[in-house]
Order: sequence, then C-alpha cells, then structure tokens
Amino acid sequence: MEYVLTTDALCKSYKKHKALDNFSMHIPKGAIYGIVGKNGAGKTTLIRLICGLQMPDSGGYTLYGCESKSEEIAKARRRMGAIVETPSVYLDMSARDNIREQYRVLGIPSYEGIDDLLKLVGLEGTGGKKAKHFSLGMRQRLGIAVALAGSPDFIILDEPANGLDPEGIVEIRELILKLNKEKQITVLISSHILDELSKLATHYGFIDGGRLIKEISASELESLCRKCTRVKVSDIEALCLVLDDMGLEYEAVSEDTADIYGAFSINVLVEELSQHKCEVLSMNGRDESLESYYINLLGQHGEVKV
Amino acid sequence: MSRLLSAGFMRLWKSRVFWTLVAGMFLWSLFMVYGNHMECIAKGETDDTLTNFFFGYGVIIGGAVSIFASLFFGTDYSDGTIRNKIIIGHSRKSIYMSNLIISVAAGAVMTAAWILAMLAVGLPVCGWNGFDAVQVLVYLAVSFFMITAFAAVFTAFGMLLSNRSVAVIVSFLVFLFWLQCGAYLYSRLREPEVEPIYTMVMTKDGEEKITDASYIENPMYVRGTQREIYTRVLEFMPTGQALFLMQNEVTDVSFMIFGSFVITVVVTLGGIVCFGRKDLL
Repeated sequence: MEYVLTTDALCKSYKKHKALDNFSMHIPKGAIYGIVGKNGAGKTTLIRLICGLQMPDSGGYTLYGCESKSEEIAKARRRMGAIVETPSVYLDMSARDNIREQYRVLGIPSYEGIDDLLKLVGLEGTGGKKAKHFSLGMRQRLGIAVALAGSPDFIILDEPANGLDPEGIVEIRELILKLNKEKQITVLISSHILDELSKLATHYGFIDGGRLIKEISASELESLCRKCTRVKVSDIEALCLVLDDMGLEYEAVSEDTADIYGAFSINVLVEELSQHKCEVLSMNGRDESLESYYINLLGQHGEVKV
Repeated sequence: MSRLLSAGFMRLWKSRVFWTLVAGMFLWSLFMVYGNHMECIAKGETDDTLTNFFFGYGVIIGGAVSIFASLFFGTDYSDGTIRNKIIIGHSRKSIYMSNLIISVAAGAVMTAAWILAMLAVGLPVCGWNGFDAVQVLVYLAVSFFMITAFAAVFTAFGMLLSNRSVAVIVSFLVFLFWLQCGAYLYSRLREPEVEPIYTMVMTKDGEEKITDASYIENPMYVRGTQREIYTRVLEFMPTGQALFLMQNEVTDVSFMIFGSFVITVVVTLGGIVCFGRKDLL
C-alpha cells in the first residue's frame, strides 16, 4: 500500500507532560484518515509536528517518501496544506486578498485560480468583506481555501467542525468529501465528534495518552461494529455446534458467550440448545457504533462528544 | 525567500499600522518645522535653519519600528498565518530574514516620510545652512545602519514573543529604557568641565552686583577613560547614535556603523537560533 504519511515512534513532551509517546501511524494515499481521541490525547500535537510547527523530541515521520530530518521534507511540504486548530487567515483582509497573499507565499505567479477556489469553498460572493466579519463557518472555509491554494495532494484538518453550527458542519463535511472524491486529495482529519467523523473517514487511528492504540480501516470497523446478538449460555460448545448446524455466522467472545451475526429465530435456537441440555442465560442485541467501539477500546467514557 | 518578501511587501502595502506610522512621522516632522520656526520668530533668533532638526528622526524612528515590528509580525501569530508559511515548506530562517528586511524597509520609508516633509515644507520656510551633500550622505548612511539595528532588535522581539500585546509593550518599553540610558550618558558627556562661581553683593539701591567670578571643576564632568567609554558606548548604541544625529554631532562615522552592524548581526543570529527552536502553536 502506498502511504502519504507514516510516523515512526514520534515522541514529544512539554516539560513533564508526555504529549506523544512512541506514536506510529500510516495514512494510505487517497484516504480520509480520522484521528480519534479525547481532548488532550495528543491529536493537535501530532498535527503540529507533521506541519513542522514543532520538532519531535525523538522519532520521525515520512511525508511522500521524504524523511522528516532530510532537506527534501521542505519540497514534500509543498504538496500539503493544513488548518491547525483555527483557520490561519488575515482577519483584516478579504477572502480574495487572503488567497492572493498565500499565492505569493507559494510563488504562484498568476491569480487565475482564485475564483475557482472561492467557488469551491462557497465564498465567491463575499467581495471586499473582511475575514473578521465572516462567520466561523466562512472563516473555516476560507482557511480550507488558503490550505488548498497550492493544489495540495494532502490536507490536514484539525477539528474542522469545532464551533460550527449544524449547517456549517454539513458544509465542511461535503467539502471534504468533494475534495477527496473529485480531486483525490488525501485527508487527515482530527476530531472528537465521532458521529461526524464516522460519516467521512475511510481509516481511523485511535489515540489516547499520546499513543496510537488502534489503527483500523472503516470497512474493518464496520464489520466489527455490525449488528449482532450476544448470547450467554451454560455450554459454549453446544452453542457452537447448534450455530454451525443452523449455518449462522458467529464469534465466540468468551468461555460462555458468543456474538451471532445476522437474523435468526430465537425460538428455534433455544429449542435446539435445550436438546443439547444447554441453557440460555442471557441474550441481547448489539449495534456497535464508532462511539461505542471507541469507548470500549479506551475503557472509559471520558469527554467523548456525540 | 523572494516569495516571502513578495508576500510580505504586499501585506506591508496594505498595512494600516504601517501607513499610520508613516503619516505620524510625516506630521511630526511638519510639527517640528512649524514649532521651531515659530520659536525662532518669537525669540527673534536668526539661526532658523533646517539642519538644526533635520536628523531629529533618530530618536523617534526606534519607537516607531518597535511598534511596527511587534504589531506587524504579531498579527502573524494572532491570526495564525505564520503557520501557512511553515506548513508549505518555507524555512524558519527565510521567514525570519524576510521579516527583518521588511522591517528595515518599513523603517526606511518612515524616515523618508520625515525627510520628505522637512524638504517640502521645512526647506522653503527655514532654509538650509551648514551641511554639504557629502555630510548629508554620511549622516544618512549612519541613519540607515541605525534603523537596521533597531529593526533587528525589534524584529527579534516580534518574532520571539507570540503574544502580540506583550510584544508591543515589551518592545516599546525596551526602546524607552534604551533611549533613557542613551540620554543619561549623553547628558553626562554634555556636562561642562568647569562651573562659574559668582560673588554678589547687594547695593544700597537693592540691586545685586557681581563683584567676583571664578571657576570650579564640575564634579559631574566625565574625564579620561570613563569619558572615552561613555562616548564609545553611545556611538555603539543606536539610541546614542540617534542623539548624536539629532544634535548634528556625528564624529566617528565608521565606529557608529560598526556598532549598528555588530548589533544587527548578533541579534539576528541569536533571533534565528531561538526562532528555529521555538514551538509554534
């Protein structure tokens, strides 16, 4: 698999606080990679390191095949854009002037693409209005436009839905999906709004206490999170035998419990089990979401927003 | 770095802070011309020449540059736009150096605004006396290096202090303290070597009459090595140079330029190292 970004045992401490601890992740090309973690888990620190705003204490990362410590990393960075925490825009400039300024920083001689960029983010009608008079959603979209000014192949969005109203969240989501599908831009997006993230991400990285505790694709997660019935019985072997006979997909999760996937008749199952002198102790439906998966993974409820 | 300079100068062109300071220098210059001219008329003095205060910008430009650098570069921190430059691969050294160049250019334009007002209004009103073209060029060269040194110091503050308000306050206070130090040394050097002592008697008519006059050594007068050190320190410091420029007392031009050059290089190298290690948010 071709990776846009890989990190290798990244460590970063602020005084005695370890913000990142041996953090290793892999972002495939074309993915929308969601970094999931509670506040203070290390998401923004990771992004700051990748963006070159801060230096890791140890470890490194590879961006488009360039090592973070090599001189080529500057060239690789030309292929990325980012919004770190808040949109980085001059508040006393209009949307057009902000993009023009970024064009100059990038060394793009022609301003021809500005109109398309403004249209892409839905700010084509803002005229000379200064960014300080924009709504938060408009500023966020302008920040994305500035990040897109260099036609990057990879963009990093740190909590893009923070502070946005529901309409703004939908707009940003649609924009990200559009960029990913139409322009094949790889996206790294950090969020603790799991419901929102689950509508976007193709891959997930779960971070806690500065460590990546799980890296999983959306399809893998879907299979893990699909609907099932958890059955607790007195004899797990009998249950397995019956389920095999019934042709049902299942997974034994402990010595007395199994998850059964797909629909089945409870009456038939109980009857079959009773013939094997196996008693059903409990039975409940499970519909695991990203949120419950995350909570189970971390073993706590913490500050997770839904 | 050319791309950063291009972007920086475009921003400078649209900067309200910059144009306010340019206008401020222009108006202050006009005020100096007008005030000096009116004073000369009131006192009946004939020595009303532009050269008396033409280089007076020296003591103002440092403050103006301190405000400019801290506000202009502080905006990059407060708006977060400094990140846009780093994320796309510009080196911190390039960002620092381009900002220093912009700072020097801004200081030069502010000084030009002062000079322009002097020439446009002051020259016809007050006239010109005592300075030839070479002298003017020498003073302007000293001024340029002095502005560069001020720009280097206050660019460092602007780049290393992420909080814009703190940067403005600290930079301006540093400038005032630096100017105060210069003013103290300069005043000590201006102390007369001897002071007159008068013996006076009261006449029968109630008038005071001097009967004897003698001179005693002034204890505040700085002598020997100490005087040499005070002079060198003043010539080395941009605030000291500003005072010499204002009083048209520039003597050791090469040492003054050397002083500004050393301050610029040392502060800039230190600033680049510190900025390179700074964790940006």
